[in-house]
Amino acid sequence: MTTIPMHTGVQSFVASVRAELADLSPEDLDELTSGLEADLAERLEDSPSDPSVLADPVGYAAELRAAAGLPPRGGPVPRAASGGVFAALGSAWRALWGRYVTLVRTHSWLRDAIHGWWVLRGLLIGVFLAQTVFFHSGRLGVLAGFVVALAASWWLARRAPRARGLVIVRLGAALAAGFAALALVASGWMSLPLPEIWPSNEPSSGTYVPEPGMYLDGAQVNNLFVYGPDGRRIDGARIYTHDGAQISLEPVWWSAAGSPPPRVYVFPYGVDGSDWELTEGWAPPLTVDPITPLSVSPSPEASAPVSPTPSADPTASPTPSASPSASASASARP
Amino acid sequence: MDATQLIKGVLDLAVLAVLQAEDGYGYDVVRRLRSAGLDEVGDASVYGTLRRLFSAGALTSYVVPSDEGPHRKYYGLTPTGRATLHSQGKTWGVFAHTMSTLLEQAGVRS
Repeated sequence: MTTIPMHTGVQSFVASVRAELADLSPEDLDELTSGLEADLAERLEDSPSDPSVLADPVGYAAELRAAAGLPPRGGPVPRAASGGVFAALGSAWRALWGRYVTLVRTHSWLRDAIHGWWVLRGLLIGVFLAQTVFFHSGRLGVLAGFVVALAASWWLARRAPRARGLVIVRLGAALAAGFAALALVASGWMSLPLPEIWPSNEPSSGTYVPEPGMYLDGAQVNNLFVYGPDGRRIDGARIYTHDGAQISLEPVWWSAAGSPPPRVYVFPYGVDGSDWELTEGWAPPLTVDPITPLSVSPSPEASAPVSPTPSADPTASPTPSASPSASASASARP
Repeated sequence: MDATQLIKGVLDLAVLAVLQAEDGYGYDVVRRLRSAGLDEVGDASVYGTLRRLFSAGALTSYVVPSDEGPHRKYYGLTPTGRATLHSQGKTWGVFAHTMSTLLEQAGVRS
C-alpha cells in the first residue's frame, strides 16, 4: 500500500454518514468515523468497480450504529442538533463524560482514585444520613446508616457505570456528599450533632445515676401510710431500710446541699402539722381491715436487724419461750 | 439461511480471533475476515464491532502515524479480550458440535 488518494466520493460519503450519526456524542462519532475515509479509500482500491461501496450512506450509518451497540437514530439519546440550552448542556456533559471515560481507560491509577472517591462519597453520605434520617436512632442507627451509605455508593458505582438512568441518583448522591462535606468543614467534626456526642444528662462515664427520691413502678412516692396489725393507721411511724437508714421521701440532693440538721422523718408526712400534703388522689382511711388470723410478736430487741423466721409448720402454736432471743418470730394460726 | 444473519451472531468472536494473530486497523480486519471465508461480512458491521469491543475493554487501540496517508488506528486484544476469545470460542465449539451432530442425525451433510 502506497498513498491513499482522497476520493471526493469517499469524502462526501463520509460526510453523509457523519450527518446520519449527528445525534451521537462527539466521542462516539469520532470513534466510529475517524478512520473511515482511509478504510473506504483502501476498500475502493481493492475493488474499484464495486458500485455498492459508496451507494448507501444511510444504510452504512445504520449498520455501524447497530454493530457498535448504539441506539438507532431517534432513540432515547437526546439529539445535540435539536438546539436549546438543555441540548447544549447535554452535549457538553457527554463530551466531558467521554473525555473522563477515555482518561480512566488510559490511566489505571485514576481507577484506584475513583474507588477511593466511592468510599469517601459513602462516608459523606453516611454523615448526611446521621445528621438527618438517623439523627435519633443512636449509635447503632448511625452505624447502620454508614454501612448502608457505603454499600449504596459502591453499588451505584458498580451497577451499570454508564447507565444514563442513574444520572439523577448519581447527582443526588454527589449533592448529599457535598452537603455533608460542607457541614463538616463549617462546623468541624466534633461539633457535628451526631447522636453519640449529643449532650445528655448522663455523665460521660456512662454509669447510671438514679433519680433522687423513692419510686414505685416508675412513679415517685410522695408519702407512706403505715397500718398496724389491728388495722389502725399508725401516725408518726418511722421506717428503716435494711441497713438501718431512716427512710425519707425528700430528694437526696435536698439534704445533701449544705449540712442538713439531723431530722426525724415520721410517716405519713403532714400529720405533724407541716404543710406537706397528706396525699394526692387517695384518701387514706384511719383504719383498714385488721389481720385477724395473724399475730405478730414484736421482738424486745427492736433495734436489732429484722430477720423474720416463720415457722415451717403452719399448725404450730406460738412458742415465744422457744427462742426469746430471736429478733422476731411469726407463725400463722389456722 | 442467510449467512449474514449467522455472521452477526459470531462477529465478535471472529474479530477477536483475527486480532489474536496480529493487531490490525479497521479495513485490515475486514480484509482478513473475507480472506478467511467470511465473504458476507459488512464493512460497517466490522467497524461498529471494533468500536463496541473497544468500549467493552476487550480491545486496545493506538494510532500509527503515516507519512503517506491518514493515520491508522490499530486494534489489539487486551487480556479481557483474550479471555473473551477463549471462553466464547469454547462455547462456539460446543454449539457447533451440537449442531453438526443434530444435522448428521437428520441426514444432512455439511
